Amino acid sequence: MNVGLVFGIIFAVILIGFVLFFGFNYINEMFDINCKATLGDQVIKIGEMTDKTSRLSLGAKQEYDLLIPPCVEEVCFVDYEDPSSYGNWETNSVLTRLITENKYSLMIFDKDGTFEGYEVDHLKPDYNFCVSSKKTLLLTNDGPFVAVKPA
Amino acid sequence: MRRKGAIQMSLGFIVAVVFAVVLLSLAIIWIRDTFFEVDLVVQDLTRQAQEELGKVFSETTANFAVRPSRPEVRRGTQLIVQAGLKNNDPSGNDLYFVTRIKAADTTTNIPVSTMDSWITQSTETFAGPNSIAYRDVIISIPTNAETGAYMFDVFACSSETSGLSVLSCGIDSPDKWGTPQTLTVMVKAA
Repeated sequence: MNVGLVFGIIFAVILIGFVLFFGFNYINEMFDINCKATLGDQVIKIGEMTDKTSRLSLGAKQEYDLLIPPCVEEVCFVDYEDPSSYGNWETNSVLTRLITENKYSLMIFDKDGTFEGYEVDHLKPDYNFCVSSKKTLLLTNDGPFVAVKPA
Repeated sequence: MRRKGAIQMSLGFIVAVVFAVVLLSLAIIWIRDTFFEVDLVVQDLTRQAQEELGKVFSETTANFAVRPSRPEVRRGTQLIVQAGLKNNDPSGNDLYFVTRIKAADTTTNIPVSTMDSWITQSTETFAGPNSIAYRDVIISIPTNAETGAYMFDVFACSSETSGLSVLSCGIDSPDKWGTPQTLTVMVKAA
């Protein structure tokens, strides 16, 4: 075999190894940014859909397809006036305090064990629940609030 | 033929030099990232926090606030957030302030007493009438901290004379200043 070719192959393999080794974190970060962007978009759309429903007549209903990006464990809809555990929603003292103090009605739990709360004006679930995969939600104009539950 | 051979040698040499430079650069980056990384990464949010506090004090009637109130950090980080104290004393006196941080709760299995050991209490500060004093709230998250939420209570106390005790400042203190604040630190994996 040509010695130059062997030399080139060995160097190419080493170089590819280095690129993969150093690039792994960056590639992961790129996926993470994409996931966070999808999540942010979903939160904005939930807010917009809630606002739109609140402007409709009493009892008006709208459906919304909630997408759960891969970095998210689950999305929970919680009544900040009563964030007690119910069904698949499990709270603890820290979550309860955060939700009531900040009036969060939307909680998003990441796969890395962290979570983020969002205050969505008018949004109040019929009962506290969590969604971990793509789900259609039913939003209903309930007068002062927009009630949400799985469709 | 001899001349052609000489050109091939030169090309091989150039290729080797290029590879060597690339590999050396990558190696230097790796060594820098691996061996020169400090144990505690100081995340100083001072400037941004003070801007936010100024906004809070100008837009609301609050005279004590902590910003950011829900920071997200990685393990092994020394977190510095800002406590803002606005001297809006109606009698227009000069005031001395202290802030006290106290571990409150967590979603992890780490005991609250352990969380208390992460805190560095600040010293006394002073603010003239209608001026704002800032104090660092320092929490060092160890590298072995579990990921999750850590909740701290932040109290402020005031006095017209110097010599306030940080440890006597709390929810029931007669010289309590403003509304106690909650600081929730979200710790992510390193």
